[in-house]
Amino acid sequence: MHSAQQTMADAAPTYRVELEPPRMFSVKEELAVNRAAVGRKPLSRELRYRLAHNLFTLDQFDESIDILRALDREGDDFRIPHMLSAALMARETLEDTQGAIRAALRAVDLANSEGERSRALASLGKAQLRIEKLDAGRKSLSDALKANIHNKDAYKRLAMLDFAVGRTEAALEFANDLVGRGITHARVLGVLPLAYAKLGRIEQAREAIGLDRHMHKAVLPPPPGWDSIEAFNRDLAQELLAHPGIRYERYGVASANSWRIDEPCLARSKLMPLLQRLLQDAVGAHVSGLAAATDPWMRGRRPSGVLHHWSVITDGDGFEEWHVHQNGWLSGAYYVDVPDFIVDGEGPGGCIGFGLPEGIVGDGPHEAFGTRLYRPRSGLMMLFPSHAFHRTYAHRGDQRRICVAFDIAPHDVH
Amino acid sequence: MAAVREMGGSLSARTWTRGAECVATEVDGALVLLDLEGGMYFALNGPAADVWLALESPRSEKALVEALTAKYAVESDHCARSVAVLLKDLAVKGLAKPAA
Repeated sequence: MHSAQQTMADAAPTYRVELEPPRMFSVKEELAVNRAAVGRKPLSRELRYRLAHNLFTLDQFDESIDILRALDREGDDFRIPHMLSAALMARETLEDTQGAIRAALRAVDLANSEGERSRALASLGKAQLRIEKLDAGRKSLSDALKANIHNKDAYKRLAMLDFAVGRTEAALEFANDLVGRGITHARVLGVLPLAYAKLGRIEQAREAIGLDRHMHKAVLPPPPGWDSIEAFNRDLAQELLAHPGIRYERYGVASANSWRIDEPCLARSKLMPLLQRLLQDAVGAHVSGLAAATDPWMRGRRPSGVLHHWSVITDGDGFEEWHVHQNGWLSGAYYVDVPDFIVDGEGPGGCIGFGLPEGIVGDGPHEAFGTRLYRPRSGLMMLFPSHAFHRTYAHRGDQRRICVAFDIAPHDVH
Repeated sequence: MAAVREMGGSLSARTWTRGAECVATEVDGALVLLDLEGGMYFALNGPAADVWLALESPRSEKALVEALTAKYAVESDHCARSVAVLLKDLAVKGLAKPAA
């Protein structure tokens, strides 16, 4: 006997979820190795670049900047001023922003391809906007998109600039133009509902996100060798809490007051590979069963995608600000440990909410659109389009909420 | 014994030394090597790390096997086969080479 859903799934092409190779060690550990290497070969540009990159990733901006400035004085290499610009921006002072502009201009000069030129121009535009040079910033970001129309950072900042100066219709027109040209990354699809909502077209905003059609929830089965998903989660939680890459706070991400593990699956991890395979199977089966292209998001589906994940662990005051996942097509969360007071609670504490950020659309459209809350529980996997704005709420409890968030990214991103 | 024969000659008498210049750091109980020229990272555990550390000065396979059997509860023939396979692997990765 075949249900309609089974028949549809049989007819759809099988979606393949690929896994990233596990890292040999965490960035913190890599930093220790590279620091020792630079001690042995202090003149090696490549080793110093790696060390600066590790330091940048770990938010140790001062030391990273010192190394990058020295490297930049010694020779021409696009990577150096490009990273220097980003590191200077992270210190968030006027003097550093001006330094970031100089570094970005140098990166533009040193770019070896249109892709590199686009990245450098996007950095330049970001810095120019920060010091209110709006016309110069707009030109840099527009030039970045001319060099690479797929540049998500440049597109995001250009759209936010349009919103900030009241050019909502222009932002909507540009987003629709890109969709018409087959460019359907999460930033473009994320701008559409924002623009519709700002224009008072709330139902079109809902339709553009497509949460009713595309939200999927399922409790995962235990991996082979485990009696229950609860038992598996207990041990997985211990593995994550003891992870060598765990760190509190990270610059430039949506998480606030939170512990993060950027690369939870290391070569020596025992349980994360099992979770990866559970997600691989569950996501592959779900996407394979989706109906053929019905909207721009589904038209962006590829035959396969790469699973990229990270872990977010929150104490009572931890939460995530409104965000989308710009590198994903499909995103999700797997809940490893959700305290009972969240599962059985009634308020938003510890929940994930889907809506539109009031800081972009304004309070009226934010309220009119509303926020849909989903209450997590241990073992639950949620899947949603990467362009759907979402946030989480501080749970205010004395236990930790542990989650593995993930993107399914098209191959061209990785 | 097949792996031993692949190496050719009287292997227990062959002397080995380190290959590429590496920096070594202990990470979570493993020895992580960074090849300073090639830029590749390698992780060696337990006996493999002991062998690489011992190769700071040239050592014969026989000496390596003797050191390992003194430290670990392993039968000598089995250890010799494992060391031969390991040295071959380290040589392929450029981390060890026959001493001149």
